[in-house]
Amino acid sequence: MDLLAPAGTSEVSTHSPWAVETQNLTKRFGDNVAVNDVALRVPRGSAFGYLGPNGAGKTTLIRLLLGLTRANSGTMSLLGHRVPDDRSHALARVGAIVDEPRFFSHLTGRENLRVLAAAREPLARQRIDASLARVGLSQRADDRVAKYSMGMRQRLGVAACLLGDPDLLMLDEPMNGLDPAGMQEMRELIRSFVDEGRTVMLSSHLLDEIERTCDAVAIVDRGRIVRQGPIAELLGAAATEVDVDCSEPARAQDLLSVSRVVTSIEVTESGLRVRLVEGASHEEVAELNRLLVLGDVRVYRLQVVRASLEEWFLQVTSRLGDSA
Amino acid sequence: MSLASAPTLTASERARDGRGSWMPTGALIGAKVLELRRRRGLMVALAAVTIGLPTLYFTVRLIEHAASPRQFGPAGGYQQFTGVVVAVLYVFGFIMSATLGCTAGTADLGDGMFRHLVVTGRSRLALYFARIPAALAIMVPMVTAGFIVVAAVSSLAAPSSINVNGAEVPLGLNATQFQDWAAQHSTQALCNLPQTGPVKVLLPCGARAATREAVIVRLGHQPTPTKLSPAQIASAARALAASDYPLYRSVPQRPPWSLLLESWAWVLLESLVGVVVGVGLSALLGQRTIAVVLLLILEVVLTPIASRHIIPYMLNVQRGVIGVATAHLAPHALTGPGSGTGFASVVPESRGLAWLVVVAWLVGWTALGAWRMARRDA
Repeated sequence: MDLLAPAGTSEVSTHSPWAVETQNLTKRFGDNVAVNDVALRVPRGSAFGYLGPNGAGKTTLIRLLLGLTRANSGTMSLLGHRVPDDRSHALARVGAIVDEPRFFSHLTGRENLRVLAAAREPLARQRIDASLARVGLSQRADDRVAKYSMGMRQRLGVAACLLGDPDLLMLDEPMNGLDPAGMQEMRELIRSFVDEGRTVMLSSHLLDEIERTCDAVAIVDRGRIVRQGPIAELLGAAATEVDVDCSEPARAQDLLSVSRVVTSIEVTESGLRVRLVEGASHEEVAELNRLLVLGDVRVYRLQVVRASLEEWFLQVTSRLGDSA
Repeated sequence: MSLASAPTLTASERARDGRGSWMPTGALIGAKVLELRRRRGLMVALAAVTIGLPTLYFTVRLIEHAASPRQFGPAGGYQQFTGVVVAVLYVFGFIMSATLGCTAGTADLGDGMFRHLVVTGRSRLALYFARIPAALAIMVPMVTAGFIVVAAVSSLAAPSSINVNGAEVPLGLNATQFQDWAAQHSTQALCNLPQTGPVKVLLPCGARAATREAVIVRLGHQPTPTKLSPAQIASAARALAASDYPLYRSVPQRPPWSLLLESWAWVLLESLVGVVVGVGLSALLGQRTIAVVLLLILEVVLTPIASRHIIPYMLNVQRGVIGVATAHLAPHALTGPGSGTGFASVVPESRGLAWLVVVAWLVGWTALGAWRMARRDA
């Protein structure tokens, strides 16, 4: 029997397409609104990034979903079970790391997993060895956790998540404290979980990691979700930038600045960087070229610069900041 | 799909997974025992106090007696038993039980494991209630081991005689044997045994003992100097032994089985109180150190004050102090005049009320701790 078999074999079958769903979820700490009217949908079987700067309310949202703290208002469900009403059943198929993974430092890694397995179903105890092997901790399983590095604790945290053979893993800043090799391993581990049909929701402030690891993302700022959806779609809708190398940058700037498809122009060492309106296509890029050629400016290079998630994130959050 | 249409579980589906139940499972308790047992420093401290302290005390007494039997009496005996049970097992048993209880009550929080445990979906109450049997599973064997040491040495190394005002009187004699001993040791008997009857025969003791000139004191009469024959002196000693026999019998040579069992149960009750109050108070405060300090103050400062003084208008408060209540539940032999412990509380309280106070403390602190656990942010 494969104790860490691909997901989807849960006894409690639910038909919700969403592994996580929230509506109007709000959590306040005094006057501070840590989670502000959040409506989140995490598709099943995907790696979902919950992205935001420090203090944006990422960990608070995860704590709410896991029943570690109470919401002021709103509704939530995990794997189709309402939380907190059906919390016990929802969490039976959820594994989670919240904040930095801390364990009983006087116990070994294996003993810590025994303690956690005891709180789960009886089968969880039989998954300890497989979980340790999955995260590459078998050799150090009988060392006291006090001797573990941060990366090893992160991996032990993931092993703890696997004890319940979860359909959903919620990992809060899983890359924290990892060296580049550890980050690569964690990334591969997360993708392997998704390949098995599990859903992985991870929060991070590391834009690059989210972009490399996740299929979909929600961007959160000051407790509010400002965008969510598949990364490819979101980036497609992001403002397109075009690098233009040309003979007369100053005149080119004058020519392009009157165009309706151009939102801003920046003079660079080799020419111009032109930002187009959101959703601009190749036709708008061709229009730039036409304007320059008609104005007798010689164009040496015209290159569309793909917006990265980081740039898009900065666009979105800075705009939010401007309107505040 | 909207949240309103999210499926809810049927009763049979709920029944298959008991992790929402407040009842702790055996596995949960076992895991908590493992976690506590691996705290080497704490375990060493518990063993050192509950087992080591009485062992050390009796070892020193055994060595002293073996080295100089005339100077140092036997290590064991009835009074040694009552004294060590009250002064060591009862007082330190509570303190160590409370310390263990406070550790069990806050270890998950302090080490950051509470969050991991809560996200398993296991009921917070089950997580809380597992701490009490787990701590008891460690404390009961420790206290019992310490008690076995005390009981064994007290019984096996009990003295064969009792010293009454300097006279070595053999223990375990019946009435006739006691009178025969008094007749054979008439001077010792008449000089040292307490004379409480209407006629007292006062012999010249010590250096003048050979003169045999006695003074007979009858109630309401002048003392009469009289020269008594050896047979008369023996007869007077025999009569004195007959009247003193009930008092002699009240001093047992070694603790009887009934007292051993009662004392063991009483010491365990005190440990149970220590563990439960420790778990509850520390869970309520979320702080081990403060909880331990508060319980130390309760046991070492407040309880003696509440037990040994009657404070006007505060009598019912004094009765509500757990140490005063458990003192009233102690076996009579541990608190009575012959025990030599000086432990009896001066605060009047019936055993029924004392039991009520104990139950209230157990239930109250458990409820407070459970309430806090259920509501605490993890």
